[in-house]
Amino acid sequence: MKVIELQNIYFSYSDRVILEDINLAVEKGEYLALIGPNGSGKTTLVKLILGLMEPVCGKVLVFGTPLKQFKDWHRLGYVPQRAVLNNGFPVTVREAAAAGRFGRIGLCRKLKREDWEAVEEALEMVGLLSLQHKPLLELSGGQQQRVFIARALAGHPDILILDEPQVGLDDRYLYDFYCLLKQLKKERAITIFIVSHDIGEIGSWADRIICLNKKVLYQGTPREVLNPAKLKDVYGMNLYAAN
Amino acid sequence: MDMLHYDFMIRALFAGLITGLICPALGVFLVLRRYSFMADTLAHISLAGVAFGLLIGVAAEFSLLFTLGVATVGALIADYLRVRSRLSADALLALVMSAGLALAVVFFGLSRGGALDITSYLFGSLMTVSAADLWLILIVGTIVLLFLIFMAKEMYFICSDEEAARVSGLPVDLLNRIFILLVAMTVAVSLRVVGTLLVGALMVIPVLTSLIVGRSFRQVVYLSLALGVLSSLLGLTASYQFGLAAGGCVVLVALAFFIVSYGIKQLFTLFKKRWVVKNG
Ligand SMILES: Nc1ncnc2c1ncn2[C@@H]1O[C@H](COP(=O)(O)OP(=O)(O)O)[C@@H](O)[C@H]1O
Ligand SMILES: [Mg+2]
Repeated sequence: MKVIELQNIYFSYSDRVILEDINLAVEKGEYLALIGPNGSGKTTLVKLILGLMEPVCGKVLVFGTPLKQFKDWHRLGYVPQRAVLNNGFPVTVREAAAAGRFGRIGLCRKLKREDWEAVEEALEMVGLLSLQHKPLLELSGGQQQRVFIARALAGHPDILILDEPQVGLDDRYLYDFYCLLKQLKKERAITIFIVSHDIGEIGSWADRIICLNKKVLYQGTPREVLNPAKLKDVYGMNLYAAN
Repeated sequence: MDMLHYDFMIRALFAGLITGLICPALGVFLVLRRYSFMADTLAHISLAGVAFGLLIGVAAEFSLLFTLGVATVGALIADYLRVRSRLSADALLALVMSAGLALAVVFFGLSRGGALDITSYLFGSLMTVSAADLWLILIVGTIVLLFLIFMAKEMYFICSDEEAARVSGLPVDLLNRIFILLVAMTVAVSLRVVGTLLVGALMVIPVLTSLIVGRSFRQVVYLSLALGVLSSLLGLTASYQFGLAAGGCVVLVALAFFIVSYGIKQLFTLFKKRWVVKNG
């Protein structure tokens, strides 16, 4: 089953075409990585999927429903690129992560006990439960990034869409982070859609890789895609990649 | 407490209590979105509404309602321009604010006899709150508080991270529009007590003070409400005792809270740093 499907998507800012004839699908339960150089349109593509921007033409389907009619937003978890709250926003770690529950419980309702339990469980997963009452602003950049990952997890999504979440995470946590994604996929059947520039690591974790640079250049298993000739094509230079 | 023998004073205090509560309650969200000037802009539009009401001879018991109407329309126009025009937010607010003030001055001039009134509208007054006004203030206060009781969590999400709020399925544009309308209504009814030039201060200063002290969103909200009410009541009392403009007194009290908190915080941080360095 296709959980996300893009058909003939074109997108441009006033004078520049950013995405051209994009066709891709994310299958239920898969671990998909989207790679491509800076400015290749990865973030734009994610925002099109989330309805934050509208394609010039083409169709976006989420769980088989056209985006305009789609209502079950709580099924999507989203970790924005370089997530930060508006400047100086006074929240605790716990409050920031709790926002991930709002879409699920609906308008006008208060957070109940089970919601806070989900929040705490998500913070536990990213290893920040002990800091839950600290002001978010007292955390390091990488720790804040983990709070936003917890926010997405707290809503118990069916798909997790992450836009370069590795940025700012240190090496030691990065490994834990990849394990966490793998575990979520395995134990909860969550579909993972991760945007990555870290082509070395991601190859050993993802099921499938899509290379983007304005168009979808290649897609397939890491073994098929991550070979020097193809990467040179995508990045326009020689890159060494593991596998 | 002989001030409580006067009906006008009781009305003023009651109006002050409500505005002291709802101004910072909405102000929290304005400040956190860096939209503090919205309140001032809407205040100037409301002033133009007051002046226009005087000019066309709106009956006194309806004048506040009329102002409220003008403020609401002004807010809708400002919001429309915000979405449609390519102006930056601060440029747009400056534009609308000057338009409001210019219209107000001209309308006041045309309606004559307004010379006395205009200062009370600019700086607030204890005497201007009528019984009918109080009802309207009460109604607006109830609407604002109900909205915040039910929508605080949504507004919090939108203000902290608008894109994530959209992705979670919240009707962000609708809530933003309702919010702006509530700010307009609040500003319009608060003019009576605090005045055009200072209503923005009552929305913003208690929040800034709370941001110094509060460590969570919840704390910031409750502290803002408490400081707003306290500033309002103390300020109005001072205004009565010393015969000074109500708005000025209220805002000076709010400022005093800010300065004291700021000072204490600075000292506290200084000592804490020293202590940490000495004792590890
Ligand atoms: N608001 C904008 N206006 C004009 N061009 C933009 C805007 N945002 C992004 N772009 C351009 O769109 C291209 C794709 O951006 P993006 O999707 O963020 O790339 P990536 O995430 O792959 O690094 C970039 O070349 C960038 O310069
Ligand atoms: Mg990007």
